[in-house]
Amino acid sequence: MDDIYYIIKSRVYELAQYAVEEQYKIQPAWTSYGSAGYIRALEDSRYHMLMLASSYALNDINMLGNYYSWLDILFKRLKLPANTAFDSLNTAAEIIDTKLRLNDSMKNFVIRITQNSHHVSSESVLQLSREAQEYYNFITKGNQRQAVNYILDIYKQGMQIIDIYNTIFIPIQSLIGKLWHEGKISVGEEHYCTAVTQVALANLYQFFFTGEKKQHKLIAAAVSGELHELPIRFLADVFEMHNWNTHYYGASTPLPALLQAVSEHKPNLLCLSVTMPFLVPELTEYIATIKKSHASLPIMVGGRPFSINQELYKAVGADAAAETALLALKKAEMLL
Amino acid sequence: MNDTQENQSSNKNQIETYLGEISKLNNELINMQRELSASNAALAKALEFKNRFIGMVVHDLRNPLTIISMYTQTIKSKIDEPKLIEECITIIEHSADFMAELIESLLDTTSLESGSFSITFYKNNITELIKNTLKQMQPIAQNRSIHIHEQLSEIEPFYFDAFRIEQVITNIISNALKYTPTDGNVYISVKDNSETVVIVVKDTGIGIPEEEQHKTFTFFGRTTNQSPHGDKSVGLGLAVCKHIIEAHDGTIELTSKASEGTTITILLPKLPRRAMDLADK
Repeated sequence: MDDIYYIIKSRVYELAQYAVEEQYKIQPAWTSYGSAGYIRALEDSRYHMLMLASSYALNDINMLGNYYSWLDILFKRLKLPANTAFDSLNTAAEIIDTKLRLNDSMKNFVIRITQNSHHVSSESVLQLSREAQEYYNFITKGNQRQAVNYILDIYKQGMQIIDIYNTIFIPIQSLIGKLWHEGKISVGEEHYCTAVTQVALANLYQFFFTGEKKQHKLIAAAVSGELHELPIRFLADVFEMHNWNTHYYGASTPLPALLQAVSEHKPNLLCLSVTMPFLVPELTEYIATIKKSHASLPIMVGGRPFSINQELYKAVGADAAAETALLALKKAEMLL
Repeated sequence: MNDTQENQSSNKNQIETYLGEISKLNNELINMQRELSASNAALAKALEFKNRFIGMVVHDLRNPLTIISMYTQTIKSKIDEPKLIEECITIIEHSADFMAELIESLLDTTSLESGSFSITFYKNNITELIKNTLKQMQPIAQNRSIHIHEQLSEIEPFYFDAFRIEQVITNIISNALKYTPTDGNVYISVKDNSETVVIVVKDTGIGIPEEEQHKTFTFFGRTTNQSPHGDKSVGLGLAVCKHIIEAHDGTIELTSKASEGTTITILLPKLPRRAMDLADK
C-alpha cells in the first residue's frame, strides 16, 4: 500500500481541521450550523480524507467516484447547497496537496470523478418477497416481538434458515440502508431495525448449531474501525449451516486479536470484511501481517469496495473475493 | 442558527453517539448469544456421546470380566487338571488383552472428543514404517497361517505423524488378520502418486455386508461380523483411524464384499496443509 495513505491517516485530524476551516472561509454560510455543525463537518472531512487517501493509494477512481455519488445524494437530501459533495472533496484534496506538497496530484485525481459517471442506486425499489414485506411491516412499526415471532413461525412452518437469510434478512438490511441514505428513516430507526434483525438471528442460532465436529474451520471478522457487522455475520452463519465450524469475531476486530485467533483455531479459511472503502488499506495491512506467519492460510475478502472493483482483492493480497455468502462458499471449496 | 437550533443539533449528535454505543453493545450481546448457542449444542452433543460411551464401556467391560471371573473359579475347582488350567489361562489372557485394547481405544476416543488429540508433523519414511509394522504383525499372521504379501515402493520421506500412522497401519492389518480365515491372504502395497502416497490393504477375509459398511468408520459402529479366530472388536479402531488420516488432510475408504474380502485405501498428501508452514521454514 502506498505510503501516502499512512501519512494522511496519521495526520487526518490536523488535515481535516484545515479543510473545514478553508471550507468555512469560502462558504461562510456554513457558520450558521453552529458548533454542532462544525463537529459534524470535521467528522465528514476526516472520512473524505481517508477516502481520498485509500482511493489514491490504490489508484482506484471508481472507489472515489462511488463514494462521491453516495455523498452527493446524502448532501442533497440534507438540503445542503448544490455541489457541496464535490466542493468538500475538492477542498480536502487541495489541503492534502498543500500540506504534503503533492503538486496538485490529489486535486487532479479528484477531478477525474467528474469525467466518469458513477452510479449509486438512489431508489429503494427492491422487490421484497411476501415474507420480507411482512417482516418489514413489523419492524418499521416497532413490533420487535411480533417480528421475531414471525421469523420463528415461518421457520417452524418449514422455511429453511438459509432462505430466511436470503429472502428476508439480507434484502431488508439492504433496504434499511437505502432508506436511511434517502432520508426516509432516521439513524435511530435504522439502528432499531438492525437490532431487531440481530435478535431474530439470535433466536435462530439454536436451530443450526449442531455441536458436530465439522470438516472445515472458518474465522470471520471485520477489520478494525469497521462497524458494519451484519454482512460478515451472515457469511459466518451460512458457512456454519454448510458443514463448517465457524469462529465469528464480529465488527472492528483488532489485528492482534485476529492473529491470536488464527494461531489458536488453525482455520482452513479466513474471511475478512470491509464496508467502508477507506478501510481497504487497513485490510491490506491485516492480510500482509497474517500471511507473514500463516503463509498457507487462504484469505477471502468481501464488502462494498470489492463489489465496485472486482480485481481489488488481488491488490490487497487476498486469495479471493466474494459478493455473497453462498458465492464465498463456492469459492472456499475451490481454495481448499 | 440560533441557540435553540444549536442545542437541538448538539442533542442530535449526542443521541447518535449513544445509538452507536447501544449498537456496539447489542453486537456484543448477539455475539455472546452465538457463542452460547454453539456451546450449548456442543455440550448437548458431548453429553449424548458420554452417555452412549459409558453404556458401551460398561457393556464391553462386563463380558471379559465375567469370563475372567468364571474361568478363575474353574481354575480354583480344577487345580489338579493342568491341561484345563492352561486353556483357562489362555482364555483369561485373551479377555485381558481385549480389555487392554478397549482401554487404549477409549483413551484415544476421549482425547478425540475433548480435542486434546494431537498430530505432530515430521519428515518420516513411510516404507520403513510399514515394513517395521509388518514385522511386528508377522507372528500373529504365521500363527493363523495367513500369508502377508508386500509390494512396497521406496518413497522419499515426507511430512506425517509416524506414531499415529503406525497406529493406523497396525489397526488395519490387525483387522485384516482378525477377519481373514486360516490360509487366507493379506496384501499391502504403498506407492508414490506424485503429490500423494497411496496405501492399500486388501484381504481375502469374510468381508462386510453392504448394509453394514456405513458403520465402519463411526464410533462403536460394530458390524455383525464374527471373527473366524474368535477375536472381538471394540468398534473404535477405524473411527480413530479416520480421524488420524483426516488430520493429515488424507482420505480413507473401504470397499468390501461379503465372503470375498475387504480393501482399505488410504491417500496421504505428502504436504498436508498444517505442515506447509514447517516446509516453508
